[in-house]
Amino acid sequence: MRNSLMKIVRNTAFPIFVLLIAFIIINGAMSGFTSSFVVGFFTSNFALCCVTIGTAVIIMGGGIDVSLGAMVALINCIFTQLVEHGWNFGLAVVVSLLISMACGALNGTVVGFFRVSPMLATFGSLSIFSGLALTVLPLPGGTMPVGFRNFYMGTIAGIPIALLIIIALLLLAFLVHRSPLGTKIIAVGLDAPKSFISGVRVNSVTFFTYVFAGFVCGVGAIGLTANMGGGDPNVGTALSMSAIASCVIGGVALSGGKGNALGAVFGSLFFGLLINTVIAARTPSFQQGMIRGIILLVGMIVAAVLLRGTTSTRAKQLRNEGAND
Amino acid sequence: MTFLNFECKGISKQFGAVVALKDVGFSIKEGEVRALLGGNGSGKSTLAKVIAGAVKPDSGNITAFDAEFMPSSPDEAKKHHIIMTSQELSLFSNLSVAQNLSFCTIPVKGGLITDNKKILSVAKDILSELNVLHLLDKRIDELAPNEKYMIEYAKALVQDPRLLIIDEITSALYKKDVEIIKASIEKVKNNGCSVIFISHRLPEIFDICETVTVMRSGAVVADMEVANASEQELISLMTGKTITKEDADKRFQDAQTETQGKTILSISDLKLSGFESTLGIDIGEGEIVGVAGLQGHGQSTLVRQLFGLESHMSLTIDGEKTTIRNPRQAVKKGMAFISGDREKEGVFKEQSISENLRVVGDIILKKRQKNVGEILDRYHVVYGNTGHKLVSLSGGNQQKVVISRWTSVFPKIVLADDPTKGIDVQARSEVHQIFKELAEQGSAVLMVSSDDAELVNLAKVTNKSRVIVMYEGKIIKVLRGAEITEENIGHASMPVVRSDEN
Repeated sequence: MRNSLMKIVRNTAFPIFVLLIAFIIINGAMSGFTSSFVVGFFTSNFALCCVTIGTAVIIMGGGIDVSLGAMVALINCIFTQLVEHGWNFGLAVVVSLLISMACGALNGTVVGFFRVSPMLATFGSLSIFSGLALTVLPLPGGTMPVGFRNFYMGTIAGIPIALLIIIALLLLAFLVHRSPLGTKIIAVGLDAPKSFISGVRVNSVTFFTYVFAGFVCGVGAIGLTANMGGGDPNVGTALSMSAIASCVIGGVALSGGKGNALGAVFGSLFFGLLINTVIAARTPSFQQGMIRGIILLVGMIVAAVLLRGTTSTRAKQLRNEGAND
Repeated sequence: MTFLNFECKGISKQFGAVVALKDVGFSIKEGEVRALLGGNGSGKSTLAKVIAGAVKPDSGNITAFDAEFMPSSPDEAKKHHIIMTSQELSLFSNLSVAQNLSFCTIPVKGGLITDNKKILSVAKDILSELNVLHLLDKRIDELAPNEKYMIEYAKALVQDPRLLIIDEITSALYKKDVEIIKASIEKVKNNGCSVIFISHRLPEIFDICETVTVMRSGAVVADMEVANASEQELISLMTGKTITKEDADKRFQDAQTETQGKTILSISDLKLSGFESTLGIDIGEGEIVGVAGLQGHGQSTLVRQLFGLESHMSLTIDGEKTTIRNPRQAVKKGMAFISGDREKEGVFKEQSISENLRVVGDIILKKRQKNVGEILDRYHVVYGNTGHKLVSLSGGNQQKVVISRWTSVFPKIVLADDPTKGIDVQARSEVHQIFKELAEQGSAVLMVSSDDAELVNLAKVTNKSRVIVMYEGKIIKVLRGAEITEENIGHASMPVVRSDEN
């Protein structure tokens, strides 16, 4: 009993879990939870959650990706155009997902096989993706079938569909985590040369993480399209950085090899609630950004202190490179 | 199954300007245990890495299983059951001990999910075979260096090797661990596995191996039966210099005569973290103090704590009472700390050789080292260019750079935690000589070693030396002069015979 309790407390997702619960209580006290609030919350944060899951897997494998937001915008535009041009709806979904995986495969090839620094590689593909998005759909527009929008904003047994899809993606990430591939991802993330010596095909593992991220971003983009009821080539710009920040606050070490997707999703939900809280507190809009920043920093310090409590000596702390390692 | 019949011919490899291997031939028979011996930078680790697929040679070919065989990656070598334990350790601190052991062949159930039960049972089997089952529930970063090397060895065994390459794991091991490894090698050998055993400890080679290949400066210089070789002969082959026993003894005798210098470092009532009792010691100018004891009795905690790595530390340096709060202060007070764990606490792998050498002087003491090349030459470091990355050097040469980093700033107090781990006999005695020079200039040296024989040799370097033996966080015996023998250290380390270790 005590052992399994320690296991939960030691989990890298634990500090953000505590923070998230605290914020749910604060939010509930301030505005109360109605069913429509909950559905709205998950439908509007759906894309961020998806991008965060993808980012988490990449970071755990020792990489980084700043192009995922632009990728979401691209898929958003492509999907909108496909539906506009009267494609079969199911086919449009499948083709969009395939294109998003191809985008991921592009990143994965450049980073995994050509060994280009992931920051630079994805910075380059970011421009390509946003440029393509503007070419596909120069101005915001398009219409989505009402049935699709209603399905996306609906619930099953009171649980929002968007949340169910997030859970399904988390289960997929967990499945990867519990497979030999998952073990190899965190091994490569911790130390690629050691993994190579141990017989891991490092290039392929890196490649996989980017393709996986491409897939979940595709799902996110389709949800986003339903939420907006159309396409917008500039929609995803803030997503990449928010996703990276969500991962870090969710216990995924930027240096790679540590953390899990669940914590990262908690992190993105925390960000969503944070924005909600600031708005609900009727903060003047000019100061919202600043207040959000202050709460965020305090949250990070709390998370750091919670994690530090489990390590003993000072040298060990330094070795752990910061709060979220 | 086909016979191994492993043979390399004409293997050459160059890293930048450094020739690591030139036209090397090497062969091993089924069930043979062959030692691969050589100084730092002699190319033995490179050869091992070529065989294990981690390094691609510039030229040459390998035949195995009666066919041409050139592994292009460790992955491919492993498919042929050619397994290498790594001197740098291939363990992952974010995985459990059991996961690490099965890392190269992760069992699955249902074709997809990792079979954790199988992982656990494989780990239990192999750990109990090596008599270290108590390590199962530990985290990798909780393990002592010798325990990590036992796990590294176990990880290789799990992969069912047909050619097992053991790269210097025993340099961090204690005697009882080496006995276990020896028995285990005997067992795999009887199953038809061939073993390439790389070690600097000559007695082990005589004890464990049947044949020996000696390398020097990237070439094979001898290939013989261990039974026909003598220790002096092997050292001469390795170093290329004829060293007779008299020479060695004479060098030890010209040490200065004992004088009572002033006390440089004085500690009293020091409680080591993790222990109940306290200890005190005074170390004088020019004194070399060896620290011995069984593993985990506070030897490395002592030097680490003195350097401010554990907590605040009150001590007297040069008669002046001070408090050391962190390593930075320790360095400013004239202390140096040489760690045996060079991966974690020694080298900056991606930085250049000269930056690695200058780091302490440049960053903390604000004293710029100019004569980098000169220092490297003095310590016989084999390197191409001081601007090359440190990883381009062999393991032993990396450690020499780390040691010269500290000694080149002339510290008052040298704290060393098993500093010669994994470096060869000759380099070892060079390190001892460096310590001797420092001592002659008035420094005090406190050095921990897991190898009792090394402490005996160290003590011969100067007359002003003693060996303290630690037990459960206190000093239980101080040996001086002629008392310093392996037997005496061994006896003192085990004051009570315990029926059950840990």
